[in-house]
This record gives sequence, structure tokens and C-alpha cells, in this order.
Amino acid sequence: MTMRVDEEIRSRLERSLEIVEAPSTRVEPVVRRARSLRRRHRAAALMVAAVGIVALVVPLVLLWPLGRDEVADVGPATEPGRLVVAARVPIAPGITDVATGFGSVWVTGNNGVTRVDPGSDTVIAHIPVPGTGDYSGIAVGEGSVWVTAPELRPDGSRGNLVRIDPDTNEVAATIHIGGPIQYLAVGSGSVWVTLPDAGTSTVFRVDPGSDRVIGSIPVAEASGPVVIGEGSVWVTHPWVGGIVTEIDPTTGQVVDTLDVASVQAVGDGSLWGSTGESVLRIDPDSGSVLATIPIPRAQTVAFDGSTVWVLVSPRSSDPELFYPIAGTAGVVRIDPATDRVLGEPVALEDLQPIAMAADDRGVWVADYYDGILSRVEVGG
Amino acid sequence: MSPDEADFRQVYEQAFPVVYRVAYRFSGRREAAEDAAQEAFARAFERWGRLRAEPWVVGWIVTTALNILRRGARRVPEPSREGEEPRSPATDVEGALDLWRAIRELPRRQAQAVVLYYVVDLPVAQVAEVMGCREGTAKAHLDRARDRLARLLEPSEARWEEG
Repeated sequence: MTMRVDEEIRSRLERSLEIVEAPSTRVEPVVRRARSLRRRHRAAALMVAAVGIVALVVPLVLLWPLGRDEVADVGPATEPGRLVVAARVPIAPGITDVATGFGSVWVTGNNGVTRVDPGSDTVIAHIPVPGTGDYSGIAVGEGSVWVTAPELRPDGSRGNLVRIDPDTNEVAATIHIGGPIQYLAVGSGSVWVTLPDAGTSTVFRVDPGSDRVIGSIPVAEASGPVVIGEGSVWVTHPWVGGIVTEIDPTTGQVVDTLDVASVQAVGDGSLWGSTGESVLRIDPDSGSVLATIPIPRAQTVAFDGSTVWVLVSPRSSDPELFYPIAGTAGVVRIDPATDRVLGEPVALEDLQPIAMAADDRGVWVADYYDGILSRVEVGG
Repeated sequence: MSPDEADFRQVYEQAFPVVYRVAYRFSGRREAAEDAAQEAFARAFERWGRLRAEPWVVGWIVTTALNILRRGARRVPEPSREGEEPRSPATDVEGALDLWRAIRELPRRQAQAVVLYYVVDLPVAQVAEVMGCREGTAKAHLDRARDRLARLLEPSEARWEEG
């Protein structure tokens, strides 16, 4: 029966296609278009690299007369291209997320938000935010820093999205959403906040202009991290066996579900995710996996404009329970031009590295257990 | 001309008509179908180093063209298909156009599986590779789609029984 249905479908579709006359087109414009796409991607990568170099070189030139003696204390020269832990900034145990923007690094989870100056690797502000805790997320965009505060506040409310003004380091707005909201991302003119649930989860859309919830989108259960790029909002459902929901930000509608483990970053025309055993490069148009790069314990991925950074979880001394071994976590880079690992990974002492964010010098890793923020960059 | 480009040109010449025709059946618009087919080939050539050796490369291009159409359709209102549909009494009677309408109305992953399996003629394992899912998942998409499409075939099946 199935074979007969198959034959019938195949035959009807074939006949219906035969009657469509295909235009005669030349391949040259297609080849030119492909080269233009390549040039555009390369130019974007070069632009980001140039901005990074300017950001690094200009302060060095300006500070050179003042800091010659200090430069001698930096330490031995490192092998070119080798990753190094360039700084470890103590924050407080229990930090849960990190983001970069407005020339600073922003960390949450410790009853508030801590602002770190990446130039001096020092804490320059701590902003108390009641309701932040073990499940808080942080994101930067639309002129503000945004943090989810799912825990109970002194006013009796739970589940608030808090907007911080980076000019004043003060809370500028508290938007009540309700429930254990967790992950968030800023883009396409909105703040997108996920409310995980065992049944249908919800993605809330908040207008940063009016500080109001302007939409709620039902998605599959257990919604998790959310990222924005390639024209869509991508919501990972980490606990339901590897699916990602695609939302069209223009309509606020779910338009697709991808059968991939996660989408954690967007860059070089692709989506990037991890499976715990490898990093996936995913085509945003077809949802197909373009490359699988084996990296044991790959936990999360960030893109800095030209390179993919991978945070590797520590090894556990117990096969059933998680007893992390110090020095077995790490960071590794992938070259998106070749989909290969670049150089050697750098080891981290962190026992519970929980989040990573890229800036123009490298990445920042937040460790939940000891509350240390580590800056990893290319040395030499 | 580089070996890559020569290789790509060969695939383009062989596969452009089928990519265009499927895109046309989905969009009902010749210009949009041609643009989507060309853009999909351009994106394939951009990634040719990774794609050229894959046996499912045409499936990847067809899928990409359909996604380009889908994204474009978010910005452009759905056209009336009546004006541009080539009329052929024979095919109308056979319900092939109804079948395409039904495919367009399937959930996107099911429609994708149908096109890759029935039109591009890929085995289920390769359908799964293009869709980035496990073989069992691709098979489940196909089974569900087949069930729905089979309902459209029922009247003619019944006629066969009567004959």
C-alpha cells in the first residue's frame, strides 16, 4: 500500500513539474553573486578585527609613556596564537551569566549586577537588583543592560525584567512578567525573555521604548537560551532532546522547529551550537548541520566577529554524579573558515564555568562555584 | 576556470530546472522562483568546498531555495496563483496541483521531507542529512506527510477499485 501511494505521489509530482517551463539562465551571475557573498563575509570579519586592533592599540599608544614599568611586569612572552588566561577577577560565588557592552563586562547572579572594567580588570560598580539569583540571565542592547530577576523581591513580586542605565549604573525600570523567567536576548528592536515550563513554555517580547510586554509567544516545553541573528530569534529547548524554535521577529510567530541540539551563537552566516560532545555549524536557511566539530564536553559557544569560542566543561571524577576536577575545564577556538580547532585549548581552574561572552579581545568566563570572572585571550 | 567552478557549473546546468520548478510550485510566481533558485545556487557555491562531495547537494539547494521563498513571503503578500498557473486540463484532472497545494500546507519539515524524498529522489538517510536530523525523525516526517497526502489520492484509488 505504502509503495503504491509513494509511486502515485512521485508520478503526479513529476508530471506537474514537467509542464513548468524553466527559464534558461546563465551561471555567471550566480558565480558573481557567490563571490560577492564571500567578499561581504570577509569584509565583515576584517571590519570586526580592525575595530578590535584599534581598540587594543590606541589605549596602549596613549598609555605608553605612563606605563612602561608596568608593561615589564606582564610576564613571559607567550607562544604566538596560544590562548592564555589574562586575568581573573573575583566577583562573588553564585554568579550565573555574563555579557559585554558599553565598554564593560556585566555579570549577574550575585544579588545584583557587577560591572567590570576590561581595561583594568577591576570591579567598578555593583548594582543591587533584588530578585536576581541562581537562574538570572543578563544581556546588553537597546541602550541598556537587561537582567532577569526571577526570585521573590521584598515587594512580594517574582519574575521581573530589570533595565539598568549604563550611564548612571542604576536601575531604570522594573518590568513585571511573572513566573521563573530565565534567559533573555536583545535584538530586532525588542527584549526576548524565556519562561521555561514543563508544558508549553512562553517567550515574552518586551518593548524597550515603553518598558512594556508587547507579546507572548507559546513555544515547546522547557525553553532555554535565546539568541538573535540571521533574521530570526532562536530558542533552544535543552531538556527535550534537541530542538530549537525559530521565531520571526517581524510577526512574532513561530516559523520553524529545527532538530538540532542547540543554537548558542550566530556568526559567519551560520548558527553555532553544542551537543556536549561536539560543536555544530548549522545552516540558518535549511536547518541542516553543515559541520560537526568534535570537542568533548563542549558546553557553550560564543562568536566574536571572526572566531568561534567554545567553553569546555570540567571532567567529573564520578561517572554518575558531577564532581568536577580542577584544571580540566577550558576554552578552545574554532576557525569558521575551515571549521577546525585553532591551536591548543587553554585550561581553566574553574569548577563550574557557567557562561561565556565575547568582546573585541577574547572571551570572559563566569565561574559559579568560586565567583571568578576569567578573561581568556590570544597571547603572544 | 577552477575545478571547483567547473564542477559547480555542471551541477547548476543539471539541477537548475528542478530547483526552479519546485520553487515555482511553492510560490506560484516565476520571478520569485527564479530569484530564489539563483540565490540558493549562489549560497551553495559560497560553501562549495563543504558541499561539493555530498550526494545530497541538490537536496540542500532545493531546501535553501524553499527557505529563501519562505523568508521572502514574510515580507511580500501571498500572490494570487490563478493568473500565473500554467493551465493543463490533464494535470488538473489528475489532481497534481491539489497535491502541491497540500504540500504547501504541510508543516514545513514535512513538506521539506516530501520534496527531498519524492522530487529530488534522495534515500531517507540522505533526507535526514539534509534536514540535520536523525533518520528516524526524517522517516516520521515522511510517514505523517504521506498519510495526509494519501487522503488526496483516495478518490482516484477508489475509482481504480471500481474499475
